[in-house]
Order: sequence, then C-alpha cells, then structure tokens
Amino acid sequence: MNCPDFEVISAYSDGEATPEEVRVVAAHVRECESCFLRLRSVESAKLALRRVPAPRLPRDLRRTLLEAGPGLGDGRAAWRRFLEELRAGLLHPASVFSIGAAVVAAFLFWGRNEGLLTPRIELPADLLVAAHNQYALTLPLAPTERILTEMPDQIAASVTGPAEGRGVY
Amino acid sequence: MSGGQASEALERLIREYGDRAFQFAFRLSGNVEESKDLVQDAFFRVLRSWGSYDAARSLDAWFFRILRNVFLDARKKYETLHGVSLDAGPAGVAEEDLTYGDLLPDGEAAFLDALERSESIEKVQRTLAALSYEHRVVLSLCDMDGLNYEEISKVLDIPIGTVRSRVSRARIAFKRRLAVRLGGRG
Repeated sequence: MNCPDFEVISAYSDGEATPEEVRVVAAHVRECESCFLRLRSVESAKLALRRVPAPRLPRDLRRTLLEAGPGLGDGRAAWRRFLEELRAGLLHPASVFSIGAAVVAAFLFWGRNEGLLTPRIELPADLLVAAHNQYALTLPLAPTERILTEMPDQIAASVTGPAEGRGVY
Repeated sequence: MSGGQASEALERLIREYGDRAFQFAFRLSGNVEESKDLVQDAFFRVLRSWGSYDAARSLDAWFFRILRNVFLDARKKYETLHGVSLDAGPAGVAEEDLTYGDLLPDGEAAFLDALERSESIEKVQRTLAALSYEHRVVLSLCDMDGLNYEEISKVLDIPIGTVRSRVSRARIAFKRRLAVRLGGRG
C-alpha cells in the first residue's frame, strides 16, 4: 500500500489539500491504520496547541498604547527610537555618557562666552560713559554707602526707565 | 491621519488585535517584556502606515506581517549585538533533517494518549518554545491563530507551497520533541 506523504496528510488536516489529494487521503485512511493514526495525531497536536493558555494584552501596555498613539510620527518617534537603541545596547552606555558630557561641556563653554549663564543687562555705551562720569564727579562728595547702594539703581533706571523718588547726582 | 482618526483607529486595532498580537509576540519571543515592546512597536508601525493599508486585503495578514517584521528587526539587532543566532536549538537535534520516518506508527497511540492528558499542556507550551523560529512561527499562525496557507504566505512573504511544506516539517519537529517530553516515542 502506498501511503501518502506526511505533507499531504498535514495539508488535508488543514483543508489545504488539492481535490485529488483529498480523494486519495480520505480513501486511504479508511484502509491504513498507520495513516489514520498520523492524521489523528496531527489533529490532536492542533487541539493541544489551542489549549495552551493565551496571555492577554497587559493593561499597562493597553494604556500606554492609547495614550501615546495620537502623537505618533513626530519627534517623539525619534526619541523612542533612541531609547530603543539604548535599551537594545546598540548605543553603549559609555558612548552615551561621553556624548552627554561633551554636549554639557560645549554648552558651558559657549554659554559662558555668550553670557548665557549669568543674568544679562544690555547697556548702551553712552550710558556707561555717563554713569562713569557721574560716579567720578560724585565720588569725592557722596558717602561711600550711598554710592554702593544707589549707583546700580541709577544705571538700571537708565535702561528700564526713570524711577520716582531717586535723585540724580 | 488626524489625531482623532488615529486615536479611533488605534482603539479599534487594540480591541480587535491586542490580545492576539500579544499572544503571537509571546510565542515568537517567549518573554513578556519583549512581547510588550514588540506589540507596542507593531501597533505604532501599523498606525503610521495605516494610510497604505488596502481594505481589500486581509487585515489579519497585514497586521501579523508587521508584527513579524518588528520581531525580525528586534532579533537582528539582538543577534548583531550578541553575535549569536536565536534559532540555535539544543545540540543534537537538527530539525531540518527530520523525515517522514521519524513518525513511527507504533508510537502514535502512546503519543495520542499522552497528548490528551491535561498535564501535557505545559509540555506542549515548552515544546513550542523550543522549536526553531521558522517552525514556531508557522505553527503559531496555522494552528493557534487559525490563518490559512495563503494568509501565512503573505505574513511570511513565502510561496504557498513553502508554507505547506514548512507546516508539515514543523509538525514533525514539534511531534518529535513533544514525544520525548511526554515520555513516548516519536
């Protein structure tokens, strides 16, 4: 007796055999106990696989998906890719640290030169000259305490506008 | 796609495919955390390419194909990083060498008896997880997700004839390994 290939029995079990194969297998398994058992074992294995408990989508992932979904396709995706690569180890922690340190160092250097790291007031040159002259003229006459407390206010008032109640030297 | 449409599409996808996607990812990876990452990536990728989806095609096949591609991308990264193949099975078991002769008729009855016992479920699960990726994925799609050969061919991007032979060989490999775990013959 010529038994059909197991591939044909397998396809028959899935309903994927050709009409000719269906005819041959259907007739054959009625006569051949071995092939009948093979067919049954395929069916039983399929049932066993379907009995395997199926995990459900975790709640936290469902929530994450719903929250993040609408904002896709923008910079967030690029950031996520970066995190993924970091997590996958494609970006070595030492490399990431080095890049981060270089960025911070560059910012500190550039920021200090540009004055970004300290409060900044733009003073026109003529105001500075006027303030200097005023200071030079009043220094011998004004008490030291008054010079130190009021002079910065005088300069600031020149920039932001006159302040009431403040005298001019 | 507007924010509202994207949100609606995503909710629908999660409702219809959330559990199935997670199950499929879990069977591919065998790891809960990795499955979460895979499913999240797959959903995001689906949503980004939603405009290119042809409604005349099977949504099942399209979705699982994306999920499978996400998995393959992740696997490629892992293999590149660690220099190992995730398909490497236990020593001494060459699944591709399995033949029809591995299914010995006198072992069938004992195998069936063992398979029908309820305590065999965990062994079935472990056996599936121990298969090569190629075999695990076709068995998952065919026997657990219920996709037909044509849909599987679209998911895996292989001819239907290859699906047919691969399903058959996966069943032989699965049965042989399971028979060993169940204590019977293959």
